[in-house]
Amino acid sequence: MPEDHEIVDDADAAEEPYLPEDDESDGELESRFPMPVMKDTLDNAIVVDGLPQVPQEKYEKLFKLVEKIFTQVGTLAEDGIMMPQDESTGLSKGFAFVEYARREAAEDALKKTQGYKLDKNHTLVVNTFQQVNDFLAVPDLAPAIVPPEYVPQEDLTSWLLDAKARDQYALRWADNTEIYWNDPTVAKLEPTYGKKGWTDTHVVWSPQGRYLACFHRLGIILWGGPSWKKLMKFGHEGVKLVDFSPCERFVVTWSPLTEQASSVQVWEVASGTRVRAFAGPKDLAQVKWPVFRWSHDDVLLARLGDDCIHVYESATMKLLPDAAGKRSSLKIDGVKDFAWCPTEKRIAYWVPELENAPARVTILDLPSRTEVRQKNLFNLQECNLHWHPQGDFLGVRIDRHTKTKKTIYTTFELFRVRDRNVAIEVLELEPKETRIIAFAWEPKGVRFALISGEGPKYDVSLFTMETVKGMGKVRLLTKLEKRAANTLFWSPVGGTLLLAALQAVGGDLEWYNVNELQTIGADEHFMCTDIEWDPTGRYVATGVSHFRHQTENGYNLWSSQGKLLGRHLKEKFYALQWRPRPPSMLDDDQEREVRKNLREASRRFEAEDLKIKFAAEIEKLEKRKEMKSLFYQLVDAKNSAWRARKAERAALRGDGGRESDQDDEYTITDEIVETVVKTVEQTA
Amino acid sequence: MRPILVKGHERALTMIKYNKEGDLLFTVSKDHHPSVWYADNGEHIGTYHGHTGAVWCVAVNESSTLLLTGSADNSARLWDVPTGNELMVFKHPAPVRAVDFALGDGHFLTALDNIMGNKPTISVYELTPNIRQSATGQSDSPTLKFIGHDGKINRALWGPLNKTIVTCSDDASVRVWDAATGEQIHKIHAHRDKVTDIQYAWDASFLVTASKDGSAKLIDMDSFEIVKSYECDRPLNSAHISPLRECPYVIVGGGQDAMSVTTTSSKMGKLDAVFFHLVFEDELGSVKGHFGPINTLAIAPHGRSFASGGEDGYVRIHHFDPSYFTAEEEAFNPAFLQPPAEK
Repeated sequence: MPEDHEIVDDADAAEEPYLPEDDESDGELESRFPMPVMKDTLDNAIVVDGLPQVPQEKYEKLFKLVEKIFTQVGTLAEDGIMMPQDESTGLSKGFAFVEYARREAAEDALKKTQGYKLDKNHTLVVNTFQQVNDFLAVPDLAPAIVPPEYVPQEDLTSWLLDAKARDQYALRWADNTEIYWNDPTVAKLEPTYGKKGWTDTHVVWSPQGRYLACFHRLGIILWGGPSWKKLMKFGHEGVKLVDFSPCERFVVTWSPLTEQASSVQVWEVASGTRVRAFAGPKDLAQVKWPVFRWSHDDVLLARLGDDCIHVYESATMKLLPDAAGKRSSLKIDGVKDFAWCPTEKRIAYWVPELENAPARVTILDLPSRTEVRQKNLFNLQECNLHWHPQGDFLGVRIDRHTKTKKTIYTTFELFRVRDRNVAIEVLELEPKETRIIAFAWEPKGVRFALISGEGPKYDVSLFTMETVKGMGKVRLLTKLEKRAANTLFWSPVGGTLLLAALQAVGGDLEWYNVNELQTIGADEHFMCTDIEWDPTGRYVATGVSHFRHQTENGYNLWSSQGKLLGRHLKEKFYALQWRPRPPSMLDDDQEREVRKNLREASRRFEAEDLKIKFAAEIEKLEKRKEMKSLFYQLVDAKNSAWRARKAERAALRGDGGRESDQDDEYTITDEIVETVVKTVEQTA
Repeated sequence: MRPILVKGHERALTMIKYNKEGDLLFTVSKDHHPSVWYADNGEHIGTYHGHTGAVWCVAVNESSTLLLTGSADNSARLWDVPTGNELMVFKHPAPVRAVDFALGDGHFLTALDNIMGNKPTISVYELTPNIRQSATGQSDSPTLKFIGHDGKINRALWGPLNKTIVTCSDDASVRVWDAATGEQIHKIHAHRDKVTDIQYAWDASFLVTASKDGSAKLIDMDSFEIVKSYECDRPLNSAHISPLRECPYVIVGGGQDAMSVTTTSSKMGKLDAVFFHLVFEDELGSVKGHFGPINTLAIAPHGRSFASGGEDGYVRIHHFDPSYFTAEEEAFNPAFLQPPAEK
C-alpha cells in the first residue's frame, strides 16, 4: 500500500519520538500520520426484494424472519438490516438492505438466498448494489433497433441456369481442389474456380449440390454460389466425417478429438448453430458412417442403438413420441440394421435369429409405428436391405451357408410395398447355390441388375418387377454370361447400365442398353478405380486415383453410350465428384412430354453443339496458322543464312567442293563390282 | 506402317545413325560389333570387328567412307566403311561416350565418360586426308583436349562450319565450346535432369535435346534460346526432328528405367516412340513395338522413314504411310471444318 511505503521510507520518522511534544498541533500530527481512511463500500451489502408489504403490527415478525434467514449465511454487520417503511401508510416497502461484516458473506448470501421461497406468493430476489445501479442505468425505453442492411444472398442454384445446361464437377489432384464445367466441345479444360489447399483432406458435395463442404483442422466450411463464397462454418475440431441431410437442412459431423459423449454433432445449415451433440464412436475404425440416417424429407433422423433404433425429430432434436405421447426409442431386440424408404417416412429393419425365434424383416411406418409387413426367415447368415429408389419395392438380399457350411449362397426376397397386402416374392438364382457379388436397382424404373458367380468372369442378370396383366411377378429379362465386370453402375436416369471391372488392375467397361437389351459400347480404362455418372446421365467419368495406383493418374470422360470424349492425365489425381442436382421439378406428365419431343430437341441441340464446336475449331486453326507462319519466318531466315554460307562449307570440304549440299547435284551411275570372297578347290 | 524388325545385335542398342543419303543405317550396341544395314529393307551388309567392349557411339562422314565408333574398351576406332577394315585405334583413359566427324573430315572429336575418377574430357583429333589408303602420318594424340561438364558427356556434335562443339551431359546442361580453343562459349540450362541426346535439324539451325526429366527442347543454334518444349510423361533417351517441311514433327523415345521394365506390364513402361508437333508442341500419336526402353532413334535424312533402337536389342525401321505426309495439310484444310448445311 502506498501509505505503508511512505512510512518505511521516511528515515527521519524512526528517530522521532513516537508521541510528539504536546505543543505540536493536531493538524501537524495528522499530516505526518494520516488517519486510516474508512473504506466507504457497499460491497458488503445486498438488496433483498420480494418481501411482503406488512403493516406495523407484523413488521417486527418479518424483521425477525429476515434476520434469521440472512444470519444463517454469515455474520451481519451491526444494525445490518434496514427495512424501510412507508411513512404515510405504515406499510413496509417490500424490500430490505442487508449488510454483512465481510464481503465474502455478502457474495455467499447472493447465491444461497437467491430465489428463496418465503411463502407461496413471495420469493426473494437478491442483488448487489452494483447490480441495482446497473439496472437503474438501463433506459426505460429500448433504443430503436436498426437492422443491419440486407445483403441479398447469392443464388445458390445459379449453376443450374447455365445457358449450355452443363454440369460441374469438383476435381482433387495433388494439393488442388478445382471446379470445372463439363464441356466436351472444349478441348483444353480450365477450372472455373479452384485453389490450392482449399480443403485439408477431401471435399463433400451436399446431396442437392448447393454446398461444397471442405474439411479443416477446426471444422467444416461450406462454400457455394456463383462466386464461391464462404457460406457457413461449423466449428468441430478435428472433424473427419461429414454427412448432409437429404434436403440439405442439417449437417452431421464426427470428430475423434471431441469427447466421446459429444463426438457426433448435428448442425443446422441455415443458422450454423449446433442443434445437438450425441455420443459417438471413438475412432475411425468403429464408425459406421453415416451414424444418423435421415428420412427423405429431413423430418426424422435415426440411428441404430443396442436392441433399439433411436428416432429423433429434427425440429426438436428429441426422441420421437410413441402412441402414448411418451418420447422413446423403438425397442427391437437384436436389431442389426435398418434402412429408410427413399420416398416415405418408413423404415425396414432386420433381426437375426434369437433364442429359437426366427430371423425377420419388418417394414414399419413412422411416426405412427405401425407395422406394414413382416417376414420370418430361417438359417440366414447375413441380410442386406435394398430399397427401390422410388420406394415401390424392397429387395432383401439373404446370404445363407450351403449345407457344407463352407460357402455362402444368396437369395432375394422382394417386397411389393405398394401392393395392398405387400406381396413377397422369393428370387432364387440358377444354379441354386450361387454367390451374388453386386446388386443394383435401376434409379428410375422397375428393373434391377445383379452380378453372380465365382470369378474371374461373372454373369450379369437383369430382372424386371413390371406388373403384367395385373399380376406382379419378377421376371428375368436377360443374362449376360462371362463378363469381366464385377461392379454395376446404372445411369441416374435409368435405361443404361455400365458394367465395369474395378478389382485388381482391370478397367474393362461395357455400356448396356437395358431397353433394347444390347451392348452399345465397350472400351477400357486401364487400372480404372472409380466410376461416376453425371447427375443427368449424359456423361460418365472414370478415374485412376492416386489412392490405389501411382501411375497413369487421371480421368476419362465418356458419353452415355461409351464414346470417349476426353482423356485427362493429372499428376496425383485423387477424385472427380460430380456436383449433384436437386430433384427435377417436372412432374411425370411434363417429363413424358419432354421425352416425346426429344428427337426434335436433340436435333436442334446437336446442330448448336456443332456450330459451337466448329467456331472454336476455326478460331484455334487461325491461331495455329499464325503461330506456324511466325515460326517459319525464323526457319526461313536461318535457311537463307545457311545457303549463304555454301562457299565456306565447300572450302572446308576441300577438293573444290567435292561434296555438295544438294542431293540433286549428284549424278547416279551404276557400277558393278565383283569381289572374289573365297576360292575353294573342289575335290572329287 | 509395318515396321521392319532388325535383329542383329545380341544386346541393347546404344546408338543408330543414318548416313547422309539415308540409304545406310549404322548401329552400335552393347555387344561389341558395330553393324551396317540397308536402311530401306533392313538387310545386313556387314559388321566391324575389333572392339572389346560395349560400343557407345557412332559417327559416319558425309561421303559414307569413314566410320568412327567409341567404346567402353577405352578406345575410339576408325573404320573403312566399304571394306570393314580397322584403320586406326585411338586409345583413351576412359570409355568413349561420343564421337563426331567435322565437316570435310579434317578433324574429329571424342568425349569421355567420367567413370573411375576420370574427368569428362573432350578431345579433337586431326585426320590425314589419305587415311583410307595409309595410316602413315596420322597422329594418335589429340590436337586439343579440354575438360567439359560436371557429369558424364552423353553426346557431342560439331557446330556449324566446325567453329564450335556442342555437348550434353548428365549435369543437365547443354554447352557450346569454341572448337579452336576449348573455351566455353555458352551454357544452356535446358533441363532439370540428365540430358541424354542432342541431334540437329537437317541444316543445323536447331538442336533438339532429350532428357530424363521427360521433356525434349528445341534450341535455336544462333541465339542458344529454348524456342519449343515438348513435354512427355516418361524419361527420354532420344529425340529427332523431321527434315520435311510438310511434316513438322519431332519424334521422341524413352521409357521407364531398364531396371524396372520387367517388373511391370509393357503398357505401363511407356516404351513407344511419341510424335510431337514441332510448332504447337502437341502430342500427336505414338508408335508401339519395343519391349524395352528406346535408347536411340533417328529420322532418315530424306524424312520418309525413321528407325529406333531399344534396350530389347531390336532396331525397328518404320517407313511412313502416305497419310503421314498429308496429315499436316489436312489439319489445316478448312473444308473439313464446314458445318453440315442445316435443313
